[in-house]
Amino acid sequence: MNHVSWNDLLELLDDRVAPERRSVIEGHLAECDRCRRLAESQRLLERGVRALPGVEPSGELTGRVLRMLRSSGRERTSLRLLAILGAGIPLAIVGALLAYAIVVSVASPVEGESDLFGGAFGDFRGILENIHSSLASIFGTTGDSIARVAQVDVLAIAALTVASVLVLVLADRFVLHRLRR
Amino acid sequence: MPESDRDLVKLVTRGDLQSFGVLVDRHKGRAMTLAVRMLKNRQEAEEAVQDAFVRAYHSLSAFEGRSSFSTWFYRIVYNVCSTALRKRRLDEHSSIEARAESGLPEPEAQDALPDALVESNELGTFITKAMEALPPIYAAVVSLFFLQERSYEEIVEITGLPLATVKIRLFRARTMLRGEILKQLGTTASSPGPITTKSAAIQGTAR
Repeated sequence: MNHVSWNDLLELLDDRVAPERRSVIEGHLAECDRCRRLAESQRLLERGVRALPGVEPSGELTGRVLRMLRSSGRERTSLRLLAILGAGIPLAIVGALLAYAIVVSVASPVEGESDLFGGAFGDFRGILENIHSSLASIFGTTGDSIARVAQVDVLAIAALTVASVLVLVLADRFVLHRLRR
Repeated sequence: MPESDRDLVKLVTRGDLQSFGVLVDRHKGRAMTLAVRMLKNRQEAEEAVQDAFVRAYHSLSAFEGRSSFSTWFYRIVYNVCSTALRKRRLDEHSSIEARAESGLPEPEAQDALPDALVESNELGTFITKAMEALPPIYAAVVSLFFLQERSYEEIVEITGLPLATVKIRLFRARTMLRGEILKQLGTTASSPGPITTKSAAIQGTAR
């Protein structure tokens, strides 16, 4: 005589067996002492598994998790602040340069400089000349180089400004990236 | 009236950290039980549960509420434990799979647990030992199915395993549990035989 398969028996215990199949299995269990005993002992075993006590973590777990989250929250706020500063500083520099250029070019246009930013670039050139002459006096450079500086193209000054800002932004992103890690 | 998990999640996403503390208190016991069953080590289990809660908090914005918070959270616990097991380089997965592939024998009539044991208070002790001996992948499904009373479908969602795999693992886990208890009793676990033996009366019956 063949008996109820182990798989059928487990499906019966899980109540996952189709109604018509259930009646066939239950019919067999009613007649077969072997399968009935197996089913009953498995039912009791699984009841025992369900009744196993859970494992409780230490009482400090909740406090520890909340402390970790608070400190990571503070870290995140600092990083967010750094990110804002990191993005803000280069933007502020670019904005200030533009504002300065506009104000200067509108307020005191330079003769022969037709561009909107002509006056500002004229001023930048002046600043550059001053820096260069100071350096020249320190390091004893000849007047030729000062003359060369005076001829610096407006476009070159603009390119230098953009490149400086770009370097600043990249350095800023790099520092932030390192901090996040 | 205690707030539901969903309400608490809403409060947490609005910045209420204390509500997350309520969620931790509510789920830490079951999470710990699952982790201990999988990792077989209390300290590692506690670290895994702690890690899972921190991860859950940080990815709470990704919780869409399609499943319950507990299902979503136990999936994180399961994944953290699985990662810890991989890190520990336990090769139980492969060895057990290989063992399982060879086919577990089907329990026979004489394998019914002795009545005296079933009726005694000792059964719990035997079951506890058998659970400890269960390999992690099987202990996980047993823990979810019996201790958390999760359905097959919920176990699929938590473990990310296909339904067929969940069924097979649960089937094997129950066979192993029974075999382990019989082994402890000094009885032969079972005699060899195909798993799919069907009763003549049952064979041919449509499911």
